[in-house]
Amino acid sequence: MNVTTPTGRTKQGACKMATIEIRNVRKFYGKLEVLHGVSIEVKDGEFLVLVGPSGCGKSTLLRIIAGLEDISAGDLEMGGRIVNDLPPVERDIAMVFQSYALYPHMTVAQNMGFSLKAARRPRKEIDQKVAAAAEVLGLTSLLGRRPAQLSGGQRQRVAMGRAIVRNPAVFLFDEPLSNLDAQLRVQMRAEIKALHQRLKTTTVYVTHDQVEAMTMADRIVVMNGGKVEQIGAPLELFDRPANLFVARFIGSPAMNLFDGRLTIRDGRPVFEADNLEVTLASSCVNLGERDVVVGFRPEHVTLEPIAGTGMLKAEVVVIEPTGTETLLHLMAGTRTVLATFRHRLDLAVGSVVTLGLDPNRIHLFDPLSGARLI
Amino acid sequence: MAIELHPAQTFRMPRAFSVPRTAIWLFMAAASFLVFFPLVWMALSSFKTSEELWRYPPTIWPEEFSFEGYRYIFTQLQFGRYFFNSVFIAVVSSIIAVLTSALAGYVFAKFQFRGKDVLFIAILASMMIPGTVLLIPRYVLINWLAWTDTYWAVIIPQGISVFGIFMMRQYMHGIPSDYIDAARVDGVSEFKIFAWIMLPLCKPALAALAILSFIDSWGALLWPLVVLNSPEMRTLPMGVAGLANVHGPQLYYMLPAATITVIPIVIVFAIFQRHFVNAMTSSGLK
Repeated sequence: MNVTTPTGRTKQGACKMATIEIRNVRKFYGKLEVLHGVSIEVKDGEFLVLVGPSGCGKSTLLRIIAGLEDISAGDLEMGGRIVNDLPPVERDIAMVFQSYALYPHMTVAQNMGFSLKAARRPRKEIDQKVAAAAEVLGLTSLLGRRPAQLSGGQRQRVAMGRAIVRNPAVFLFDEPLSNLDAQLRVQMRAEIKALHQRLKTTTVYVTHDQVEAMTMADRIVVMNGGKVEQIGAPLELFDRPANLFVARFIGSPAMNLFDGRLTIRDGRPVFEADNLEVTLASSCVNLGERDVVVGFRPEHVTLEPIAGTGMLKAEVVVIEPTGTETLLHLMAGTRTVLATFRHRLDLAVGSVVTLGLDPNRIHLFDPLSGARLI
Repeated sequence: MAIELHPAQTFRMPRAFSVPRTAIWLFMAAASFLVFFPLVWMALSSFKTSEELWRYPPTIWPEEFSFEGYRYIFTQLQFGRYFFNSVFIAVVSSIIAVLTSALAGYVFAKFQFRGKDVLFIAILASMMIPGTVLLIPRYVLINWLAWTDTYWAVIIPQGISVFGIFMMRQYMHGIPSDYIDAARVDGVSEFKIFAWIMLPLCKPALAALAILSFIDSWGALLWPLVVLNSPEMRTLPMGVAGLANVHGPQLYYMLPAATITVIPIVIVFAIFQRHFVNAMTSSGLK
């Protein structure tokens, strides 16, 4: 079936697509600036995740895309047209809220068909679309129930169903899984991702959970304090964080960070700090001698020192076996170091171990600006 | 065997020796008696003959049920008309109060506009002005509108409820704005958001406000006395008050008149009291 979008594009298949371009968008609440010149491009059919700590502006940005908040400065373009002043209904979007926002006095069927009823669509069309969406989401047997009679996961699906029936060009998700328990969250994550792969609709997803971001996104936008810290594919952010904030935020457990001094010995770059001496990659010579922050991920630590590279002596303080891996909390002098191993360890609390660090897995940051150096 | 009491455990006396509970029940019984006995006596006495009413010692249960008092007030004193006027004014003013309060409360709860806080405080501050102070300016306004001796003279002032605006604003404040945002994304017009989403969610508060408005309007005496002149425009309270003359209250007619004035209120409250309590607690009002 061919679909013509409001922007005039025609697409074969059952989906509608749209690009989103956010150009230097700023948002003020009175004198308080909450978004500082944010620029993001969302490609057609992409699953983009906005992630960041609470208060970073990600939900505000999502609401601006939805048309629920005004733009103080900058432009928002959707499907090739500026939509700054367009109301939500004219942006061809559908939104799933953190609280689901299911109308408690309506049944599941009425909730899902509400937008079509507001658009004065024929009763038959509403029933058909609701039935089709319900079948996709496994809600057919629940159509006569009210939200209070549903579980958290079922309510989440109804909220998604309400979005699907509109066949929008863009899906917006505002932390939809934050009210669910851990097990259900994993299940719903997969369902949302599967839905996106099936419908191929442009999706902007907001979360504060970096695991959700990493597992679901085509690309991630890391935000902090109303600014974009880094945009990239999940593994790109994991392997090459652009600054200290991204380095700390992405990855669980968080990256170990040591501030110290980069020195050049016999033409080799060496990082020195308390209890830590690491020979860095040869490309670091170009940085010259300076203060730096070295970062290494808990997963990139070995229990055997790597000859001619990095070594770190530390005492085991806490051992956390999770079944599939073992997380060690160690003390190197006064500093805490985390190390993760994908096997069980024969170690006791109080053991002193020498950890090995692969220089190719070490990240360098400027201590003042936090920016990545190498 | 020694029993170790956990700090969280409370030691309860056996029920028969629970002095505080007994005292509470006695107090509640006495208070209920004091409140209900006059109403029960009034209703029962409305069926007594004139001679039995003034007998000493007084009786509670009528020796002989007489409907003469009721017959007289409905056939000779136009109480049927008064009853209709009271019902019409109370129902219409309650409907207006509920709708206007809901609309205004919704705007104050869910919209941002310049001067909102100042306007809301000004509206609330008007509650501090005693009603008697406003009698004359209100009468002048009603007279200027040529509404004197019409239903509108009573309905409109009673239909605009500052307390109702405050109550609905408080209640709607507690309704998550996500419902409104979701409706806007769904393309629902602002008025339909109010009618289809907010009003159904406010049913307990609307019911409570309707009860309060109805009771307030039903029992109003001073203002209707001021603006309603014709006998056929009188309300029930006006009719009851008119049964007192220079010789004192005409009990034989006043008791049936008061009984038919009170009974509808008791019925309305009995039916809707669940919503009333629910709304008061949900809106944060005590």
